[in-house]
Parts: sequence; structure tokens; C-alpha cells
Amino acid sequence: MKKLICILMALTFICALAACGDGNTPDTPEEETFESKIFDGIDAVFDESLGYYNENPSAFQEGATRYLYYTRNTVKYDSTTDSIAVRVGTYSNGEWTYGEPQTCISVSESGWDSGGVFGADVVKGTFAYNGETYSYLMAYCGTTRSDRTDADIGFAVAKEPTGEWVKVGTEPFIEFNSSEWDSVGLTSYPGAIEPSLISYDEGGKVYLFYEESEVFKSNYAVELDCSNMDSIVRGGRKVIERGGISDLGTSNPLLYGADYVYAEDGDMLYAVREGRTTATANPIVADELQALRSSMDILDTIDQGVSDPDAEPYEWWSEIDDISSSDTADFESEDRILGYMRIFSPTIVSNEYGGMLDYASLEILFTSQTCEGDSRLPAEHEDAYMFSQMIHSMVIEL
Amino acid sequence: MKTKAISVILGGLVLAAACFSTGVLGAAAAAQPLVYEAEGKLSGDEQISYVPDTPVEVDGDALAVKVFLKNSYWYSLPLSFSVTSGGREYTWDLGNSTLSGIEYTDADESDSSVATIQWDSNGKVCVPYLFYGEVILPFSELNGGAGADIALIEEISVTVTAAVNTDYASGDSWVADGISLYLFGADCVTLNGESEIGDRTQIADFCGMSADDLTLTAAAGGEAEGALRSASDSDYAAFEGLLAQYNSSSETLGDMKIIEDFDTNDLLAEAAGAERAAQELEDIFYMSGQEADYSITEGGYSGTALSYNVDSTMYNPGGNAYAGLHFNFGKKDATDWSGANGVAVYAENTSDHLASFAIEIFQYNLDTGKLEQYNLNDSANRYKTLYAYNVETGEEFSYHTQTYMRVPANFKGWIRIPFSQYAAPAWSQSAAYGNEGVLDFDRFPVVKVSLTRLFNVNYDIELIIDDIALYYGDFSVGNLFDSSKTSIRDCIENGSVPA
Repeated sequence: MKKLICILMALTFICALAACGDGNTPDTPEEETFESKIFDGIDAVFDESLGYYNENPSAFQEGATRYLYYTRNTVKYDSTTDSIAVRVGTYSNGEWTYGEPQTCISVSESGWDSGGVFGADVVKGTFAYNGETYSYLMAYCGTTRSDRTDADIGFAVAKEPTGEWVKVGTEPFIEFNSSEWDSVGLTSYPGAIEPSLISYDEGGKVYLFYEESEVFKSNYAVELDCSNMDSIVRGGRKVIERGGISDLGTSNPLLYGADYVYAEDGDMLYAVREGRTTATANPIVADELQALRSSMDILDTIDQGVSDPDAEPYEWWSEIDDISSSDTADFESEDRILGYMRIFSPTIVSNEYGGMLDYASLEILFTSQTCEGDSRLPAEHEDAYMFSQMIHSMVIEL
Repeated sequence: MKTKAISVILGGLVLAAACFSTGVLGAAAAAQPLVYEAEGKLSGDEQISYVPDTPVEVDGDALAVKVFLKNSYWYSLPLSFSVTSGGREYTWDLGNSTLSGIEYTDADESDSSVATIQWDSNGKVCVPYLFYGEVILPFSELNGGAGADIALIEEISVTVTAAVNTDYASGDSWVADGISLYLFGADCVTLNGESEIGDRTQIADFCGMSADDLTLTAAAGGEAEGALRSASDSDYAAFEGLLAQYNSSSETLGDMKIIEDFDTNDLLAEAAGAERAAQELEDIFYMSGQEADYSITEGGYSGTALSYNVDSTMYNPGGNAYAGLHFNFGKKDATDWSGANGVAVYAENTSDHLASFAIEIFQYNLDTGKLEQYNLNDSANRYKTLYAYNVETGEEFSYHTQTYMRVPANFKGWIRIPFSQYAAPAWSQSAAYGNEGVLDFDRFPVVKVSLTRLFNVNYDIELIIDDIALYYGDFSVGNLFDSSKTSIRDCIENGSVPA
């Protein structure tokens, strides 16, 4: 059993603007009252007032700088103001300190992402679009609905990790169709979500991993040549096999909410996913995370011909470690010994190309959220739990 | 090594048509065989009997009956043969065994081979689909192998088995029997060895005989539902064309061997005319379970294709949940699946919703005599992985499915199913069905497929199904990043089938 090491992140707002790099104005109004979120375990990697959700993290490290992208509402207690924000992290005294949030993209006034934007991932490369050359590609979810269902996946590009971000076109790239994979049309479905990018050649070729909530809920990886974003070339769309993943009560567990990184050493694919939830109260999200690895052959190996009927199915995935609620406890604080009851939307901190950052460990960022009805939430905001999400970090040794 | 499932070429045995008394044809118009046909669903077995004008003195070792089976509700038609001697009826019943027969590859019998003919567990001779030849019935096997001392043959009978639930996995709720059995003649023969025929004594030459010369009765008594008649010129031409088709090689497309293209066969059309050939193509299908709406239509990948719709107005609430559309392979070459990696099918879903169907395959286990059914069921309910190439968008993708092959809305293209995804359903491995659960194409032929669709999730969604093929290549889904991996499209456009 590998040891889990909690990274206790000291909170600081000093020098935040310097860390932002491009001098953008912080997106949190200075005059607002800061309300502390509810801590049942380890600290968050940055603090922001209750009333702002900080969720769906995605992070890469380029040189000595971290870029942490996440989903955030730009107006306190207003869930119609979804945005993809980035915070720039610097390392000092053994810990990462993240600056103020800068908005990368917001909901459009009309069109496919006019109801919400969330769950972004970014990779470095070379991407031409409208006569300009960009170095960073973002895949993000968008929807016309306020509840983030029926989502599609689109792209944005930027010359710097902090922006300015330019949305690519006016249509999503992965368009979810509720009847394409259902005989009558699904009535309730998240859509195409959880994009995760890995560069194939450090140029324009990328794998886009995502989750599609069709009847059989599947994870896919699509080969894309994004060298020319005006005319993206699609390669194969490969379903991610599930052998080796186990969840109680299902024969076909999914890589729920998964994020992926590539390890050149050994040609391996590392993933972190949500366990199947047992939650019955809001938010109905996971209470366990799992880190896994598989040979990269999972994308291209096809079991051709007749196979031995007595042979067990091939197990592509092997577990590295898991993170449960209790693992998120902070035993140095009496009121934080239970840990977070809801932990979900994990990501692996990668290098700028979506590759392994450190072959000795995986740093996992994930989201926690306070449950609905928690008496510690302010009574004047019935839906305060919806604005309580925080992002935490833990490290799994390999 | 290719499987030679049914027949082995019998070296040196070249039989000239003129040497036979059995079913020798003169001018086609003057001496046509008799044809027994059952249009709809038989309520019971039916017996065809012939009484010679004078009893025939037995001279030889066996009764040889020459037949051609054109249509049948499954791969082989179970027949029961008997002779009457001294006022007593004797029946052959070899229960789950095999005997040899002689199979001819063309109508003039210029080439022949030894055929292994299966007997089912009910003691019936299973005459294979498109078999033309002689069923050899040794007198020593009468009375369950105890033999019978027969001096004179006063009557010979062939009993056709109606489709009912059987120990064949697929044998349930057949909508029609649709039998078309050609009868050429019957001889007493002397066997030189196991299957080489020496002297013959003619008992009956049905060619040119009137149907009234025989009697057709329901085996349980009463009036027969089938009909016996003389073959027309068109019937005989169809027989010649089907034989030519059956013994021709399958066409290939890239790395695929096409086992059914849903086109009228050129050889059949040449022999019997385009209209008759088109009708013969329509007649290859048999339904079980719910009735469905199907037809041959223009379109698909090339030529004509199968349109297959589960029409909500045809739904029978008391029936099975599925509609099954079955057909046997019209070419012997199509039954040889050795060396292939999986099944490929061209399908079009013309609707804006998901459609689904299954290609269930039937391996003829020659050790057990069972027709073994395999599909995408999994005893642990795990998903199966399929691979698709959309010919309109160029996209290639893999996806998961369960039991049925899912065809996404508006999809047009090829879907590949590796054999590794097929399994014997758990129910078929019970003693009653006897499926051994091991696909072994080096030893056993695959003789038919069933296209099944669940009714309630496919109401009024039409599928166009064209070429069903075997693929032999090793492929990847798309090859944008690694050109060393062959895409499905590459396999189709540049691949080849191993010789």
C-alpha cells in the first residue's frame, strides 16, 4: 500500500498579482465580504470565499510555473456566471502558492456554450487559427442549459497560458446527440464531458479523451490533428476498455470524471477517476478517487480472431492507489478529522504536453463540496452548498 | 488449413449422367424432377410415398435417393426414409450419427464428391441446404442398425419434418417452413466400400413422373398442407443456377470475403433469368419470433441490399421479444471461416435514432451434429467492443455494446466484430441444446446467420444491411498518428484475403 502524503498548502494572497504574470486585473471584487468555506479536512490549494465554486481542476507545470484551470462563477452566488479561470502557481518554501483567478473564457451570449462552460483542460503545442499561431489549446464543456446537462465539447486557443483565450468557431467539436445512441432519445444525460488533452507530438497532434453519457456511458480517446484549427483532422475515436477497473454493483465500470497523462517511460497511460458514488444526498458525486495505469496499447490493441472461451477478460488497468474521504482528513486539527464526504473531479498535474511530471509520484488535484443542509452553511443562502467547492491536492507515490 | 466440412473429393469417381438410372434427364421439358413445396407453416410432418407398379427385388446393399434441397427453414432439412417390404414398414434411424452420400457439383453430374450426411438426435437425415446428390441408406442400418432381411421393396417413403422446437438452438417459433425439396429418383445400389456405388437397380425415376403417381399425406393423417408437383423449366433452370452458385467462389473486397451480398447471383440469373434469380434471393429468408418487414431493395454498399424493419403494426404481444431473420449461405465457400478474424457488415441506419441488430452465427459442430449458436451475449454482462467505419464522414471508431450490435443514428458504413467478441449463450450450453461453446473454424463450417432485432427498441426503424463478410486483416481504428497501423478503410481499399 503506497503511502498518501497530504500536501498542506499555506494560503496567501500576498504577491498574487505578481504571480499572475500578465498583470490582468483579479476577477474577485475587492469590496465583497469573505466567507470561509467549510473545512472537514486538508486545506484547499487556494482560498476563495464561499459563494464561489472552485471545481473541475486541471493543471500543468511548465518550467517552474504551474497553471491551474478550474470552473468558477464570476459573480458570487450566481451559477449563471460560469467561467474557466486560471491561477498561476509559484513554488516557494516547499509549497505551491497560487495567485488570483483570471478568467479565460465565459459563457457566450448565444450558441452552444451560452448556458454554461466548465471542465476545461489545456495542452501546449502549435495551433494555427484564423491566420494566427497559438501555443495553447483548451478543450472545455459547454451547454445551453443552466444545469450543465446536454453538454458538448469545444476548443479555445491562446498564445500564453493565461490568455487571451480565443474560442474556436461557433460550434462545438464533439457534439452530443441524445438520440444518436438511443432508440427514443435520452431524457436526462450529462452529454459529452470531461475533456482531457495529451499532446502526441508536442506540435498539433493531440489525443482528446472524454466521457460520453450515451446509454452505455463510455470513455473515448480521439486522435486529432489540430495544427490547423480552421480544419481539424479527425483520426480514430477509440473506446477506452474497462478491464481491470472494478466498482461494486456493475460489470462495466466507467472511468468517471477521468483525467489522463502519458508516461513516455514505459509507454503508459495514467488516469485518475471517480469511484462510483454511494451518495444519496446532494451533491450526488463521488466519495472516492482512484489512480490507475494501463499500457498505451489500450488504444490500439484489438483482440482479433477467436479467443479462448475459458480465458478471463484481459485486465488493462491496474490500480496504483485510491483516495477515500478519510484520506483527506487533517488530524492536526480537531475539527478536520473526518475528511471530506464528497471528493470528485480529479486531475493529475502534468507537464505542459499532458505528460508525466514526476515518475516518482502523482499529484492529484480534486474537488470537495459541502453537502446540502449542512448547518454550518449560512442560513441566508439555501443553495450555499452549490457554491462551496474547493480544490485540494494530494500526492500518490509511485 | 481449410476445413472440408461436408465433402471430400472422391478421386477417380467420375460418374457420367448417362450411367445412372436414377433421375437421368433427357430433354429438360420432358423429364423434370418432382418438387415438394411447403409455402407456409406446416402443422405437422408430411409423408411422400411411392408404390412401384410391381415390387422391386432388392439387389444390393442400400437404397440411394437422389434429392436437391433448395429452401429450408434451417441449414438442413430433417428427413425420414422408410421402405415397406412384406407389408411391414422399415425406417432408417441412425440417431446422432453420420453416413456417407454422394454430392454432385453440377446438374450433369460430371463431378462428384463424398458427402458426410448428419443424422440428428431424432433419427432424421439432415439434408443440407443446396445439397444435390444421393442419400445412401444401407439396409444394414434398418431397425436401428440391426438390419432387416428385405427381399422386395413394395413402397418407399420420405417424410418431411415440420419446423418445431428442436434441440437446435435456433428452432423456435418458425413463421414458415418454406421447404422446397426436389426428388429425382431412388435406386437399389451395391456399395463398393463405404460410398462408391457399383450396380444399380432402379426403383423409381421421378423425373418425368406425374405427381399423381405418388401420394402425399400428413404424417398424422389427413390432408397434406404442402404440395407435390413436377418441376417447371424455370424450376429446373433455377436448380442448375443454384448449383453453379453454390459451387462458385465467394467474391472478395479488400481483406474481406463476402459471404452474402444480397444481390441476385449472376450465375443463377444466367441460368434462370433475372426475375427468377431475384425471387430466389427473396426466398432465402426465414423468420422466427416476431414477424418483421423485410425486402431486397436498391441501395446499400453496391447493387441491392436487405431492408429490415420491425414494423410496429406487426407486433404480436404474445410472441417473442425479438424478430429473427435467418438465411443459409448460398455458396459452400462461404461456410469456410478458417483463417478469418471476424465478421464485417455494411449497415445503414436511416433514422435519427439508434438502431440495433445482431448477427448470430451458427457453427455446425460435426462431432455432435448440433448447430451451435454464438452471439454477443456475455454471461457476466460485460460489454463487447465493436469497430466501425462511417463511409460518409470517414470517421472510424470503436464502441461498446451488449448482446446486439448498435448502429448509431444516420450511420452508413462498415462494422467489424472480432470473433473474440462472440460467445455461446449460457442457455445454449445446457444439455438440451448441447452447444460446446468453442468456435473452431478449422474443423467446423459456419452454415447460417440470423439477423435478430429486439422489437420494442427498434419499432419502425429501418436498417439497410448489405454485404456480410469475413475479414482477415489486422486493423486499427484510424491511423492518423501511426501509419504502420492499418485503418479499417485501408483494409477495405488495399487489403487482401489470404489465398
